[in-house]
Amino acid sequence: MLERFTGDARGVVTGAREDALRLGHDWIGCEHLLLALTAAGGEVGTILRDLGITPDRVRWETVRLAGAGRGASLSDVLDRDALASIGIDLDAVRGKVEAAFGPGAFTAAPARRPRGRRWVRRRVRRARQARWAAAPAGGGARAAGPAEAPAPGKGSGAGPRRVPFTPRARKCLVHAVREARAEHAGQIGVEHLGLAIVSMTDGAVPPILSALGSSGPRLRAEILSHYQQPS
Amino acid sequence: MLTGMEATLELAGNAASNDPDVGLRAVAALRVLTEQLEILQVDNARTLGWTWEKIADRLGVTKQTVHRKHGRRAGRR
Repeated sequence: MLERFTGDARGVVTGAREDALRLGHDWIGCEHLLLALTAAGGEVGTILRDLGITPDRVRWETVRLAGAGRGASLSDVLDRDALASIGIDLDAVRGKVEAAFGPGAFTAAPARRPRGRRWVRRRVRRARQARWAAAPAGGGARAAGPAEAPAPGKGSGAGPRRVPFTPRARKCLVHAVREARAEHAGQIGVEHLGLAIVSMTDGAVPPILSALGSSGPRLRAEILSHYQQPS
Repeated sequence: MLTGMEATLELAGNAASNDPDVGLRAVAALRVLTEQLEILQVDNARTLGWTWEKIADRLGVTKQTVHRKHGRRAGRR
């Protein structure tokens, strides 16, 4: 599907995968695409960052919605600015923790990790996604439900970590192709991918954008005004 | 330019005390931080051979609470 993406647009997609891994997530969703988009060079990234949609803030919102997976660095996932506002220096905490427990100790260890076979975990993940769809207002409710069937899984062992796209993220990529086609563009650029991402009406993107004081339509208008092409 | 930036920083600092957006985010982040530090400390205590009772006592919760919360992860050492 990515053959007709420009190098930069592909960079956003691979960036999304890296962001997902960094957060300890075992899926690539639209939220990770948005996160990679805000870090992208070029005009779209600048537009978003100028409107306060920065990588840090998108990452914090993503974690607030989905939690952080095992191994994510707490320096990445905790809202450093908010903690600073009450006098807590996250770097100082990190320093103390690592001094006491060694480097790498300042990482997330989810208390309630879905255990069991892969399909059980998948079901937990889907339930989580359904919750986003059901409540786009995005309360900060972290998964606090009763743990699913604690079947003593064997842990899927070695091998490279499989991080699939969510169905919604796939849909997002398809929409990017459509955005490009609508402009009769030969290639799918970052702007088309960006339009597709911010225009998502379900999933994690709308609650993240609204938490950061923006909205899909507004960002869409901003991006389009920068890329208006005489046709 | 610099003065503008300073003004923004100052504004952010002043707003911290009564802006619910910042305040609530801080509480949420603090909660996660507390949770993670608890996991770290409980695991360490178990590694050092502390009993659940002693851990619960220091945390100010019941033995059942701490065992239910951490037992599966830090149980067998």
